Amino acid sequence: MDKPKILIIDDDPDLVESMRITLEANNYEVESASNGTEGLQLVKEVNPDLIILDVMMDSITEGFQVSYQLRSRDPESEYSAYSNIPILMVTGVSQKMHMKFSPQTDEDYLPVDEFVEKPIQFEALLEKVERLIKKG
Amino acid sequence: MGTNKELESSLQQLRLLNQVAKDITSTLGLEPRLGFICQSIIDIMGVKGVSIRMLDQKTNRLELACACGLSEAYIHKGPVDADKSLAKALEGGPHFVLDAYADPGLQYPEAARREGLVSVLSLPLKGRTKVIGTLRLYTGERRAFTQDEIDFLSALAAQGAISLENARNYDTLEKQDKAKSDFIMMMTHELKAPLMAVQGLLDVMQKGYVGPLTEKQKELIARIYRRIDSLMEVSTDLLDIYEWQTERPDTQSISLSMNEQIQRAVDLFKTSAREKGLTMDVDLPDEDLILMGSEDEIEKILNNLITNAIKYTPKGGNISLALSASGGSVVFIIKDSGIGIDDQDISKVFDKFFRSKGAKKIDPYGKGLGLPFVKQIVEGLGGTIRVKSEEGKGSEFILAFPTPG
Repeated sequence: MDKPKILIIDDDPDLVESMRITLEANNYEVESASNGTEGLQLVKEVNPDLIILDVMMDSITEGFQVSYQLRSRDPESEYSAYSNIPILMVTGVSQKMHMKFSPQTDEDYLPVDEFVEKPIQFEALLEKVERLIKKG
Repeated sequence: MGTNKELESSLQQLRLLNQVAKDITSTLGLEPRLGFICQSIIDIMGVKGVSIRMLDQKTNRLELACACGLSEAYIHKGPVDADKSLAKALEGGPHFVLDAYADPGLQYPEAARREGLVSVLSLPLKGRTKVIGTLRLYTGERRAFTQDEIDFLSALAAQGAISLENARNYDTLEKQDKAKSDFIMMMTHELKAPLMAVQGLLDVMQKGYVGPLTEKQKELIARIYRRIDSLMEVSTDLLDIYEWQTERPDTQSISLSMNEQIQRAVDLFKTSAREKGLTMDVDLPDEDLILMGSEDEIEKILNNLITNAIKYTPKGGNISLALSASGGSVVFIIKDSGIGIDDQDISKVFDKFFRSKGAKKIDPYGKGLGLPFVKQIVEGLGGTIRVKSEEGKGSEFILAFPTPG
């Protein structure tokens, strides 16, 4: 069976590198993009099994925008074919901004499946990646 | 009758002077105080309108600080040029114009005519070293002011000027303090991103994902990791403390049972206390004692104090936590049999970045931000915190919160 494909969208090249090494060492194939636009392009090209998405890139909300686009309920959306790909959001802000990120209660607000807090604990990351890919 | 009226008027004048003098040392609520002064002058002097303008040194314009009895249209008639309009008053003495719209010294004669202003009295607001603005009275009819009236208004202007200057200095200080906090927060955020990246890269090396490591390499990476961790910790603490300072997080205050909060904190720490060979006593009253606050805030207070007690109490020691109601307050006391704080250090334990000699010996990487943060949160909740300690015997922190009601 093919290795599961993971797309990382994050603008910190060093963070991407450490995630890539960790994921590849655990038998995943990794693609990466350093901004939202490039990330959305790669979603269509690669059709990944999971997307790891950073909250903040060029702007404080870029990660949010990407998740809205991917999970758009508009049937005409160019991403409608990809709306089932699980999204794991990397964030350093959920506590700081006192946001409720629970996907059960806030699905309309932030349509992602799971969160990992920065600084990333790679054990937690791997465990969540595995669970999301199985589910997807 | 006439004498009575004069007496009444003198009394009013004295009252106002007294009020303004009292306001001098106060730093809050400048606008309502100015409004009070303007309205009182209208009442006492029977004039049509009063305005207070502050001199902006950079633009040499007089910016409106307060006005009463004047229309919006007149107040905002245009920028008031210090040179053209109020040169005489700004030179230092009271300046009086009987027919305002016929006087070449007035910058907006047409606006004054439309507003129905006839006579104008301008007085300088003299600060400690220079004139900082003007106080102006406008009448609706031709009117001269008596020397007594001018003396009273000059005294009022002198008092008011000092009050205004105090308030302005306070504003400047507050702005500088805010700028400093913002800078620290921005720097700390900037610091955290690369630190997190370094942590990630070290992590993959440590796990051997990029090839096997020698024992020495592993040891060195562990050392680097520890230093990075401690930098991360200080960044997090700094952000917490300054964010809390500039704006108390908009968490909602709810009724919380202190009994439950303490029990939860104790449950969280009992294992680490036991592992260190410490006993922990908890004395909670039967009835629930309620505090207004957020769980996050209470948790931070309790976790900080309990962590400290565990850290600074040697093996075999004891930590006791007690909650009680006393004199309208909810009182929480945490006491340990630890290393204590010596007399020289005890007054500084709530200062940012201060670490006592004993604390440094036990934990060289601590930052001295825990207790200042606790104090900040406690005070934000309207409470107080104090410490008693004897070196070598232990420390006791006593927290008192107002009972909601």
